[in-house]
This record gives sequence, structure tokens and C-alpha cells, in this order.
Amino acid sequence: MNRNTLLIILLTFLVNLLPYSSFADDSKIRCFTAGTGWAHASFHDRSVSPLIYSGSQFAFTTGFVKRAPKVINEVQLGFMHGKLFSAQREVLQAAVSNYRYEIDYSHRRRVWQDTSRNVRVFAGGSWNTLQMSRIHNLYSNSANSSRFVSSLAAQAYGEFGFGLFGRNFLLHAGIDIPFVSFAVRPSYSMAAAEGFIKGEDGLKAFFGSGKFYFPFAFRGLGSQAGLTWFLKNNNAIALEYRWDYFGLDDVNPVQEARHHLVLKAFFNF
Amino acid sequence: MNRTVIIALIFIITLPACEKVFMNDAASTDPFVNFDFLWETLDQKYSFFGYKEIDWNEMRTNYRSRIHTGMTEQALFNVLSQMLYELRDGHVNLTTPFDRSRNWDWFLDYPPNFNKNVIDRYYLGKSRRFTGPLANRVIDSIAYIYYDSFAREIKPGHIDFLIQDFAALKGMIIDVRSNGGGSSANSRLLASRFADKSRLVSLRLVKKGPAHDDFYDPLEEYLNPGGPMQFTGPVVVLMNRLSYSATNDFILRMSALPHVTLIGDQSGGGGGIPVDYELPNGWQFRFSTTITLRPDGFNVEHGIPPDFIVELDPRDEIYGIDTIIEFALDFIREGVGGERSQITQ
Repeated sequence: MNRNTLLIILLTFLVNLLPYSSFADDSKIRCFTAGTGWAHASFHDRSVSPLIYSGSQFAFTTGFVKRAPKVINEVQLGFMHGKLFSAQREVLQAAVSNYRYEIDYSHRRRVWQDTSRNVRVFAGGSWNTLQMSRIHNLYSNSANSSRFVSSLAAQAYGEFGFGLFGRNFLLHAGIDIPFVSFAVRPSYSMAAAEGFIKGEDGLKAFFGSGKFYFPFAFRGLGSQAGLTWFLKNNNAIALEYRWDYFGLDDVNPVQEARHHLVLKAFFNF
Repeated sequence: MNRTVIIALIFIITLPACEKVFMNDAASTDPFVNFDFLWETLDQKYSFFGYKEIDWNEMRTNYRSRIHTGMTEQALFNVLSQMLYELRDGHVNLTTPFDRSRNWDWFLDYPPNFNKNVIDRYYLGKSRRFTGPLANRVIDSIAYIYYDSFAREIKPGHIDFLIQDFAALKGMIIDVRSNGGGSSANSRLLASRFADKSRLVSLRLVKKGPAHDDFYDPLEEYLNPGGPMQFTGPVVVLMNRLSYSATNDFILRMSALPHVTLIGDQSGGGGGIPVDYELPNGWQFRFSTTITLRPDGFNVEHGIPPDFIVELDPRDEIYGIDTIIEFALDFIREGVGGERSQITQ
């Protein structure tokens, strides 16, 4: 099943849901979350190759959600791993082993709600940090390369609560627009970051290699949608889809995108 | 459900379809596209145009005229590999499913000065030891070590064992002839066990921009004593034209030590660190992006001259004699240069 078909099916399902007349939204909830799923990652990184590499990844996520009637705070840690291939993979069987670690924090405040329709809209921001390591199977000295990106983003988020077959569900969706990013990337001609080439080491070399990127030099976008099914004691199961993209006008330009589908459990405490 | 919410939801869910607008794949089998990409990448990142006095624009003119639409992969490879051959660099290769381009003139144009059969039968013999990748044997109270490839990992324990075991010997011969290179980490590790103190051994220039002379400030590299003990007695390093890349780097480091003498033929060179890349058609290529200089400014790309030029005499080979090893043994026996065998702890 290709990506577009999956999107159409999901959209059809969501459009045909029936609204539920009541939804308990006044409670304060604290939950640990854990989930596993699938991701499809793509990158076009000129420090590695002129080709786009993409492929399926295993994904795992865990985190913490603290929710009050008007505020949602969420911390999420994620890990993703898998092999990526280019359109020319059959030539020399080139493949990239991809490791992605991320930590995301978001803070949202309710700006509008319609209690009769159980709709709430939030606005806020998020801080997204990720570390990616890649190993190209055909390269030697430049086989291993790492990059670090930390971004601040504005976020809009909406929720719609409804009932179905006597169960409570929550449909949510959001969009992130990063406006500033700090990135550490490979240097112009080698896989090592610039600070290490200059003879520095440790954190000084790492952070000394980084640069701040602002809109136009940095482009980012993220969207998310999910369906949460509430269980007893405010535990829940959610199916979430997230897409994010960023591009940097670096000495070696880079663009990365990811589709992420995860089944997540919320453990209330 | 609120119509606004539905519209927003549709927008959010279909947004990922824009991904293909943002990311354009450069994959192409067009010969012109691949030629231009190879030429431009090297033009921007190859490090030796100035030192080797190569007119890269002229190369483009000469070789692009041989490209035509519909040419076979083999024909394209021939043109590209001939162009790369002009760089006279053993670290420049184009790899395809059917062949790999190379320039081996840096050793094929010279006598080998190495006979593995003679070493195996008459120097290492049956009583050799294998300490990790280091084949070794004591000959007349002089340690003889042969290291065939820096791609084979040396662990600290390997060399530390040998340093301790050979502590009381007259000297040590480290034979890296026909060692084509490998890991610089192994080169640094081995050399550190012979360092008497911290010494500046090289200056490295790394490309930082597209101009041919666009380099970071020279990076000083030091050789520091490593491990629990070092051998600072007389050491001879044997080398030939096939002592290349990481081996050349090892020879460079050792040449900075006062108790080390280089004997044999000039090393093969390969002072640039190669990085790997791909063409739009999936072929892989590598090329040098750095320059390595001795502290006195000498560029080691074409090799390091020995202290004593000694060539293998074919008449000696017939009788199982390696002229270069014998010279090294005599050199150490006669105590010419270097300190007597000592261990620094």
C-alpha cells in the first residue's frame, strides 16, 4: 500500500466520524507514553551524496504528557533506525544505515474552544532537537557522518472529542513552523564537523562547529494528526501520524523529511 | 464537525504531499550530467590542483568533448577514468560495477625493492611470531617486525607486548614495504610507541571552500608518547614505493624521531585524505581533500625520501638475501646514529 493510498483511507475514516455530545475535558492528566511504529525517512544531503536516500525505519517513542484544561505540556523522546537506499541502489548496492535520536518539548495554551462541538484550539511552541548518524556502506574515511539540529517552532494544534460505539475518542492535529535552528553539520569537504578539523575537541569543537539558521536559510514544516482512544483511569491508546521536513542552505545543502506512524500508549499516574 | 476544523485537518494531512516539491532527486544516467558533476565536485574539493600544477579547466575542455549522448557506460567510464588519471593520485578512483579506475604509476614506474618470498623463507621463517597483525622475529638480537597492511587492526596490547619483549635488544626493524596503507588510527598507535616526547610531525591543510587554494589554517599534528612504555633505542623503518597512504603517514611520524632511520626507496606518498562520494548514476568515486606537509613545509604527496637509499639486489635475492634488511641489520649492529636500546617508562 503506498503512502497516498494510506492517506486517503485515513482521511475517509476521519471524515465519517460522528461527533459525541460530551467529552471530559476539565480533568488534569499526567501520563507516561510509550509507542512503537514505522517511519519513512528521506534525506538529500550534499555532504553525503547528490542522490536522495529513503527507506523504512523502525521507530520507538516514549515521553511524558501533563495536561490541564488550558495547557498541554509534552516531552517526547524518539529513536529511529533503518536502512536508506537511493534510486541507484541496484548499481553498487549502496545503502545508508540511519540512526535518529530526538527529543521534543511542546507547550500549548488553549486559545479557543467550542464546548458544544467539543473542539479546542491551542497555540504554543515547541523545541525539537535531533541527532542523526549515518553510515554509508560503500564509503571508507567518510562513511560515518553525524549532524545535530535543534529548532524552535511555533505551533498550532486542534482537538476534537467525540464518541463512537460508547467509547471516548479524541481527534487531534497540529502544525509546526520552525523559525530558528542551530545545526552542527559535516564540514565542507570532510565528514567531520569544522571544529574537529580545526584541531579542537569535545564540546568546544562540537558547538563551535554549529551555526544558527533563520527563515529562508532554514526551512521547516511539520504536521501531525492522531486519534486517541480513552480507556479506563484516563489511560489511552493513540494512533499518531507525523510528518516533518527541514532544509538548510549549508555549504553542503541538506533536506530531510520523515513520515512517522506510531501506535502509542498513555499510562496515567 | 466544524467545517473549519475539517478543512484544517485536510490541509494538515495532505501537506506531506508537498515533500516531492521540496526534494528533487539528482539521479541521472545522462553522460553529460555525470561528467559535469564529477568535474565540478573535484574542481571544488580536490586539494592538489595547485601543487600538481594541473589546469583543470583545460581537462574539462579536453575530455568533455569526448562525451556524447547515448554513449555506453563503458565508454563513459573510459573518458572519466582517463580524466582522473591526469590527477596522478593513487587516492583518486572511480568505482563501477565492472571496473575501478586508478593511477598506479607511483609504484609501477619503479622497482619493487621487495620480495615477500625471501622474507617469509629466510627472515621470518618457521619461528616467526604473529602478534596481532605484526609478524616478528629476533635476528641477531635485533627485532624484525613486518606489518603488511595498516588496514589490519593493531591493538594496544599487541605493540605493548612487543615493546616489553624487545626491551633489551640492540634495536628494532619495522618493515612496512609494500604496505599500501589502511587506517591512520593504526599508524598513529604504532608510531606513538616509539615517541620519546611530544613532537610536531605534520601540518594538515583541509579544503574549506571551492577555490583551489581555499584551505583552513594548517592544523598542527603531534606525535605523543603512548602506552605504558616506549622504545627509544635504534629503530630502522624499511620502505619502498608501495608504502602508501597510512603507511606514508606512519613513515612521516617516525621520521620526526631522532632515533629512527629510514632505509630503502622513497615511499609512495598519498598525503591527501580521500573522501568518498557518488555520481548521479550511482557510481562511486573518491578523491583527496587535504594536503599533508612536513613541519619544514615539504609536501609528502609524492612520498618521503629515505635517509639511506638502498635497493634490492636481484643477485642477493637468488640466494635468499634481502639487501635492504641486511643493510638495516648492519646499520643497527654498527650503532650508527640513534641511542642504544633503552626503554622509557
